[in-house]
Amino acid sequence: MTRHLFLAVAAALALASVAVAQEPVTMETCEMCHDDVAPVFAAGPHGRAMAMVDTAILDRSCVGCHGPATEHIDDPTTENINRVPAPGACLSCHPGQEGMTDISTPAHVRNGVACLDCHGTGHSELKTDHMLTSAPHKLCAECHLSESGSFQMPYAHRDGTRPFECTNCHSLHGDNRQGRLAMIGSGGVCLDCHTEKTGPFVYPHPPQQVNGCINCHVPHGSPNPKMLTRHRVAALCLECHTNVPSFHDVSRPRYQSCQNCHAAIHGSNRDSRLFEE
Amino acid sequence: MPRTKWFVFLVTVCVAAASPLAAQDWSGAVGGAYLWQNVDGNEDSFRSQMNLEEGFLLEDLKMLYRGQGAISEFKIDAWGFGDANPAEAAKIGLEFGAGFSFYLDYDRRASFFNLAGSDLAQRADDWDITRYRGALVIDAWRPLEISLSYRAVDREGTVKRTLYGLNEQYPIGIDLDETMSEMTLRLATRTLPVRLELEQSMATYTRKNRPFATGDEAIGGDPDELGNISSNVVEEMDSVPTTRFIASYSGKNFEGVASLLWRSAELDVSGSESQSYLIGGGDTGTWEMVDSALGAAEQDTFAAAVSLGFKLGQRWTLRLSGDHRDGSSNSSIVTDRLSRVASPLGSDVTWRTSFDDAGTFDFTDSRARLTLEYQGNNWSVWGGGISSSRDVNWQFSEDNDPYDVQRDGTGYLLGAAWNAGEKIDLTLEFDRGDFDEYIFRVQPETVDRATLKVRTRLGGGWRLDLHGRHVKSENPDDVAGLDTKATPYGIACSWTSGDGSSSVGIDLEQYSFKTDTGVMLPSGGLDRSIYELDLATATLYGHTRSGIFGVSGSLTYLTDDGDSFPVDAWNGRLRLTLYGGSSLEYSALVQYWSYDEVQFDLDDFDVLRYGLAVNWRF
Repeated sequence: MTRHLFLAVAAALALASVAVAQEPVTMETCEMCHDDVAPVFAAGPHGRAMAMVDTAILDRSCVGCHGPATEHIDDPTTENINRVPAPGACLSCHPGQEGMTDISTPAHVRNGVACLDCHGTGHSELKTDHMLTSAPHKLCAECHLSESGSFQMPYAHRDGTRPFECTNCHSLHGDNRQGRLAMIGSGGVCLDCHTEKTGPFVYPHPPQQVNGCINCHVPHGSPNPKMLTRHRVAALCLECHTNVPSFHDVSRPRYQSCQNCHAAIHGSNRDSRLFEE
Repeated sequence: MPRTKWFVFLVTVCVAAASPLAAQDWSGAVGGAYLWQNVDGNEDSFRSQMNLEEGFLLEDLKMLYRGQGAISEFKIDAWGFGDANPAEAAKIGLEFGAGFSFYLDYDRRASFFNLAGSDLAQRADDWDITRYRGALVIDAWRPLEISLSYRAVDREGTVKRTLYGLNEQYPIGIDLDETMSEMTLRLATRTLPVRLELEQSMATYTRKNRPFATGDEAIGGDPDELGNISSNVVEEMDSVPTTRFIASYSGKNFEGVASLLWRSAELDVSGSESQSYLIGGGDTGTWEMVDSALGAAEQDTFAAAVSLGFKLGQRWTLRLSGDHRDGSSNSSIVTDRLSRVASPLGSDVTWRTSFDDAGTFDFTDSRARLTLEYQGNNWSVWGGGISSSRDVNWQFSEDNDPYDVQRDGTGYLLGAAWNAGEKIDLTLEFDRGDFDEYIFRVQPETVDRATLKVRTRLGGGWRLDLHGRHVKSENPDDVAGLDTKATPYGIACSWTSGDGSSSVGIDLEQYSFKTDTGVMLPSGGLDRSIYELDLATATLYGHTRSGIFGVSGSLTYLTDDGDSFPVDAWNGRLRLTLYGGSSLEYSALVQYWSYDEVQFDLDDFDVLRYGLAVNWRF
């Protein structure tokens, strides 16, 4: 009984949030002409998600996105209906984290990037997650050219010949921090995969703790091995370390890569000189 | 579960599912390829970049069933299985009409690294990261979504590197055995005006890495050899609790999200490592060292973040964001070291030392940002300020002095955007940051950044986009004399036919980067560390279909003319497809990579990869 009560309240709230709640036209009415569109929508992920909440939402979904249709029914032209959903139509049902683009990615809002630039409407069969119209890396690359290009570097995050998806690390909506580890410190999102570098360590390497992985690594791609910010490892280390004992003769190959000895560069649980991993 | 078993499991699930569902509403795709490759040059270098090999590749396996019965959706999505690709993934999703869903994700990524010409040449990696995630989501009760998930991460494989001993370096191998498992309960409200999420997770981390002597000769020509190396060290963190709470609200005139996190981790290390060296091949004697350690580290982290957006009337938007992190770590270690030199005749000399050590690492980070934006009809301008503070207090070891620095920063940003509907949009932004004090000497005192982006849709399917950025940062000569300039810019032009069946485009990117830092060499002399990139990348791509024939491809040329480490590289892909009957597609693939280092040639390669693929959509 309680469940039904909550469902009824939820449905009522959802329906009330649809700006055209008073519109009498239902999907059945629209289907009389658009019989090639309505059934596909109802059977698709968007239609099914609506039906799971309440079938009444699905019944009114056409006008929910395309606006009042009474006039359109009397005079079916493209002039008196929103062919493309009106701005804000999506947010009438997705007001929560999904809709929080204005604060998390205001540049999208400024440049007119709207929900349907990345997501499908549900009219066509989309087998992608979140009804995306294409793979995330293709959608993001349409604007983020420099970032997309950096994945062409010799050393880059990649899944073989398959591109590494931007959404593996970045999140667009609402709480713009991907995982729990991301909140713990800089570079946390890297630690979702590279868990062995999470720490704590008996002897941590302070730059990782303070500045995160990007202190030494380029996250998208780099011309340098291990996606480091410098080609010579010793150059990277010596820029911070000014008190290296004089027996380190950098003209000898042994001392040109500090990691030859200081192997536990991300932190050691054995040795204060980070000798042992 | 090993990858082969996973693949068999997937196929079994597909076949089992397909049989009863055959008459139902299901669709999908399956495609596989077999690839051959010819490598001219350093194959390990190619593997360090791409890690591709010959063999079978599962290009795509998708299966989707949607119905009105007890199972409302059943979905499988897998790719990458086979020997040809270093990464593979599979997702299985089951949604039940009764209001709960079950998801199982798996992915595995193989990492390989072995570069003969790099100064990391004395290190070779060959390991996999495998991740599993299972989740049960209960959303039958509309107001609250409950999900229970389990996540596991394994890293297995081998690292080969050098070990410093007897004044020489000896190659050793390390068998990696690192695991993480985590159970999470997540509750999320769905019908309250304010969406609330509570996550509680418990995780365990374990590392049981084991070194082994590779048997190779010592690097540097030392006639002695590493006789044995062993370890029974176990590093583990049990029951690492993490609590996260998020509240978010989105209304017509206000958006806000706030999150809190608390995590407590305790690491325990115990066990001993031993190394023995055969001096003069054992004829002169042996040197043995045993290092027993008992270590611990505790880390408590509290983090909070808030982002707020207010619409002030029709035109103004105020955005406020801030975050705060407070972490404290304490560590201790007790070691017992035994060093023994033994002659072949049986006599020996033994030294034994022990030491205690302890360290602390505390930090407090705070950051706040405020922006105010005015929005015209098709343009907007904004400006704002940034304030940050980072307080770090650490004592790395009892042998070191305590280090306590607070670094504060202030900054501002100004921006403008013009968005003329579908045709063109333009963004221009400038920001500046000023900082005092230095936690690390290479941190900047000032940072200036200017960004320009222009996107156009020229009509007839044409697009022309321009973007550029200039970043400059400096710090004083008495700190590190840092001077860094970065200028990435590019132009992209593309055309797509109205029906999307054909497209062609070109991306041109240029990235100039130079950083110049004063360093002190181990000898005591002063020098400059200069790193310079002058990278140009050009990519030509396109696809088209005419009747039963289709072609798609891309060609990229990358050149770095910077003084530090100039490189030329090419990569290209071509796919010719014949669309047959019964939704079958037959493809021929050609892929090409070349990599040419200007200063050396040890890591150069040319790789031609080709193959045949069959895909079926149903």
